[in-house]
Amino acid sequence: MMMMMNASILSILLAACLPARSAGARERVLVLLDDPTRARQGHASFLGQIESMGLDVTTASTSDNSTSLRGIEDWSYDHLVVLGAEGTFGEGVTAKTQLEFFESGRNLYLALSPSSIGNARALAGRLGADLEARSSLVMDPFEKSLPDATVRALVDSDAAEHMLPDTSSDVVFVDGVGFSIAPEATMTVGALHASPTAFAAMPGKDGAAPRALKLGGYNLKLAALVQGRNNARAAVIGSTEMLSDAVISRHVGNKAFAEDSLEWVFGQRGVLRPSGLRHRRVGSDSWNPAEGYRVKDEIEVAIDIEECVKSHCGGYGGNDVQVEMYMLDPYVRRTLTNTGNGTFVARIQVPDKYGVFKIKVDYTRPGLSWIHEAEIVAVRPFRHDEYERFLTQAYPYYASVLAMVAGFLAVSRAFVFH
Amino acid sequence: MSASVTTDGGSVALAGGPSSGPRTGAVESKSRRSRSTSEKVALVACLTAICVLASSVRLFSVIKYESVIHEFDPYFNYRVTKFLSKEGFYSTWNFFDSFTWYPLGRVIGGTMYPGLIFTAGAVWNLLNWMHIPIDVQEVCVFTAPVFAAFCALATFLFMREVRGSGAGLVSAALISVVPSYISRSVAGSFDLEAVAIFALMFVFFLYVKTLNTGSLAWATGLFFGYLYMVASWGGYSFIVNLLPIHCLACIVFGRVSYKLYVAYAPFVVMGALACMNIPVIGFNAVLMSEHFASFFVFGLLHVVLLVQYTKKCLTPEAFNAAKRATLTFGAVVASAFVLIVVSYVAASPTFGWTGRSLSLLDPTYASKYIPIIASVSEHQPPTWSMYFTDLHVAALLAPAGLIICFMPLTDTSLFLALYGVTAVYFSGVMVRLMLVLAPAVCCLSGLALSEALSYLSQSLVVAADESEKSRTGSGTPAVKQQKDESEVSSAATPSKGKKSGGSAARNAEKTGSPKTKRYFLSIDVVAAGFLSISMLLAMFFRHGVYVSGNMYSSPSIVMQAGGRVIDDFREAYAWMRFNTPEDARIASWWDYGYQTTAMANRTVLVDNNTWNNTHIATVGKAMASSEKAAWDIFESLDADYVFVIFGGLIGYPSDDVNKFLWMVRIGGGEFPEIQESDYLVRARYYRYYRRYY
Repeated sequence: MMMMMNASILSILLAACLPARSAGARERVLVLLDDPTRARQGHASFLGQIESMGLDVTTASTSDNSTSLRGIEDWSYDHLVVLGAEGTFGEGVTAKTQLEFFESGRNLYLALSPSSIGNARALAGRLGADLEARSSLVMDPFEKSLPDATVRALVDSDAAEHMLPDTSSDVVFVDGVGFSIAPEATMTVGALHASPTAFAAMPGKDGAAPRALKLGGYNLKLAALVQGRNNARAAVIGSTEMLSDAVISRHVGNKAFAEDSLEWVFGQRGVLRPSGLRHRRVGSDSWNPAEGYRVKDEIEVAIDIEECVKSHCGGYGGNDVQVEMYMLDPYVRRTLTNTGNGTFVARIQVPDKYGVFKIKVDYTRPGLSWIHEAEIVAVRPFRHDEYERFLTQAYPYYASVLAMVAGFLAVSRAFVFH
Repeated sequence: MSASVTTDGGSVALAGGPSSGPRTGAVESKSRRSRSTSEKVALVACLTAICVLASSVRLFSVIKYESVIHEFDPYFNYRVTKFLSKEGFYSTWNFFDSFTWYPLGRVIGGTMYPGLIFTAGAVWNLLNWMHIPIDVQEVCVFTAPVFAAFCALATFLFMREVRGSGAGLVSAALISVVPSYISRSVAGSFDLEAVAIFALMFVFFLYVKTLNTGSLAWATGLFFGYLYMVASWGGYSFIVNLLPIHCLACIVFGRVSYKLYVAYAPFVVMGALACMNIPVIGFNAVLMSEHFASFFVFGLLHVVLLVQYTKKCLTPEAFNAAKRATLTFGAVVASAFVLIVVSYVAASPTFGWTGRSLSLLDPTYASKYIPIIASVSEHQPPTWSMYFTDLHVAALLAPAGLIICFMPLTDTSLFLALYGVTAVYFSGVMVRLMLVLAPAVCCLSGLALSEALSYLSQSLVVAADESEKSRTGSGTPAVKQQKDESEVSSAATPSKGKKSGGSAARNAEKTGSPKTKRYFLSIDVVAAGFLSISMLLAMFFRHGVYVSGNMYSSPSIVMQAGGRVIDDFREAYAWMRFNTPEDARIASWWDYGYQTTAMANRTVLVDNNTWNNTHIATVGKAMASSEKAAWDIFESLDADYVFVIFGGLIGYPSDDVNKFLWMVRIGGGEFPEIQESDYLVRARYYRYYRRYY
């Protein structure tokens, strides 16, 4: 009984520590839809994509008050998908709760539309996406091959490598709202932006010509991906229509985008797991000595980094991971050598400066989990008996001392005995 | 005490005076032996009483509060002593502390004066070796009172060398309760000064002893005493300047003797070596301007001796010729040197005046223009009232003692006079140096008092003799005259110790010629004199005990207000100890650094050892900035917690609000974007946020 209780407490603790990626149990995802029955028909392929990812999927209505993100002690879900958000949020899934959900390290997939409610827009704003005015459109009058209110979306270069690797071309943005990324939102990366000739516009009243807004081209973002400092991930997408069956079936790029963005947000790609940052004096057997080091010691530093793709983890293959010895400023910065199986090692000479150093690995690449690992080591100066006993350059002084002693003895002898 | 002074003065005169020759031998020597025995017993009894008084008057803090370390700096000493008791001597010598000055760390072994800590550690080890289990803290708490007793003994020894046991006893009695010294040596005040004042007086004793005896053995003792002093306190620089001044004065007054040479020359050479062996001083012993005076006078002493020797070897004409040649050559060299210096100075834009040389000329320079020094209350110049609170009647009697030093002037009394004068000067610079003044004032006023008491007692003896003689009518005028002369000579050397031979006795013999006629007081004047002196002393002792009990015994981490004990500091530190992670970094103003490391056992960013001005200024800048800016600064310093003191609710005056302007000033000293004027409102008030234009 006791053991069981311990185990359950342990599992709760584990769940708290590793929210999105707890081993064993399938991850739970809550999908909030404005009108579940209609959406199932319109977005069947998108929802099928979520279900095919090996997740425990729960679907609920956005405005359903009986759905709750929170459980009794912990969150009930690991991921949240919001599609549309044109009606009010239910009591258990308010925008505030969703933000807390994200801040607790869980993942949020937010697909909005021009008629999304203010709370959802505010939530997007908190994630760094400043949405254009309600009922504004994104249009491209120069693109004749596409229907009205449909523009070509291009993949941002920041997002191309790790976030949307399979999304190449033929992505269209349909009936959506564009946005800009706030300059202070440094954790928000644009994923899709509009083609150079597209711009945001307010539709004219009663058939009048639309009025162009300020954003256009590269600055008009259509989808953004966010990775918080706690490695929680979020996506903000300005259109629900671009994920609908009708569009996905016609545009292969949209299908790839849906897959890529879901995989990335749900932590099935681009996840790095660092472990065991360790250091020792060269030639020593024990890692992380408590007494620290002396200045100018030769030490070796090692760290293991795993990369996980769809619950399969292997050694990370990058070769640009760096380690620093840091005390207010970096004193040493070295690129770690990848030994091939995810272990990165480097040899460092401790700087000739005593103090409390941080041996830290800061590895921040867009699309990959942040790595901030640090070990604190004290670096002491030489002990009184660790200096050289005799200095070569001091030999003249030693000679002078000996000469002095000899002279003193000689003079004393002469003085006493003569 | 007065009794012992009288017996001492009288016995010396009777035993050692040349006029005691015609007296009957056997009876006299017998009475002398019994008298000297009783004198010794009285002396030891007096000294024991003084020692007990000196220690017990400092125990108020333990009785009124508890056995706890006081203030700020003592916590550092306590912590290192604890480390010493655990890790041993060599680990402490090489102690690198990563808990303070995060992330810079501090080489404790190389930046501390180890004397106090090793003393307490040695005492603790000794007690443990004797199977007396005692906590390090208790040893630390009671170190200061014990050394106060030692200091009284050292003062006695010093003054006995200067003027004899009487002056020694009075001085020792005065220093045992002088409030200035009590303020830094109550139980729990485990500060460097606790042992340093003892070491200071002991070095002075060894110096005058060497000066009196001219023995190399005492010179060796002087070296070891000085080594201990150097290890104990930065105030050793006072000694290393006072001794050259004395030597120079001896040269100027034509008092150069082999004894002076033995006392001074080995001290300079060996003393410099002693300094260099203490890591915190190291090569500063030959690089810093504080030590130059001693080397200069060392050279001068040799020149003077060389001149004397040459004079002895040459005929007067040859000597004059040599003198002329040397002086001409010297003048040429000196003028060339002056030319070089002048051209060098004129070439530099500031005319060669650096802050350091300015601070040498004007000792208040640092406290005026370097905010981190000015912010410490004990670096302010003292007020006049402090002289009276801290020294009481001793301050009034000291000038009298200074005059007594010149009648007659000996090498040793010259030393005492110089000590007094220089100490008065330095005490005017900052409050902290009142501590150096206190022993000087006690010695001088002890000298004056003992002289006065001695004179009164002599009058008493003469008056008694007169009345006896007039009653019996046996003494012929001739005998009476002779007797008076013997008393005259005794009065001239009223308290000269038997061992302190030398020039004092010779001078006394000269002044004691039959022509001088000393007048003695009548018995009622003597009574009035005794009465007033006893009242003066009673007031002094009462004041000393009162001040010790009520003013200087507060541990400052535990406060009493309105009958309630306020223990918030220790509660706060205990909270930190139990509620923060063990590797948490705590940012606070530097005052609380030592206490946080010692009591809360957490890493601090800055502490009371203000060795890195930039780091303190960074914390000051953070404190003076808006929250957003401060967050970034504290992030860059890796601080986990910020510890501030607010005393507004209970009216505790020395909280962080009160110190705020100093944070701005110190921060502004390094970061010019912080301007004090931005925080001032109409010149009399200040605020905690900056005014933006």
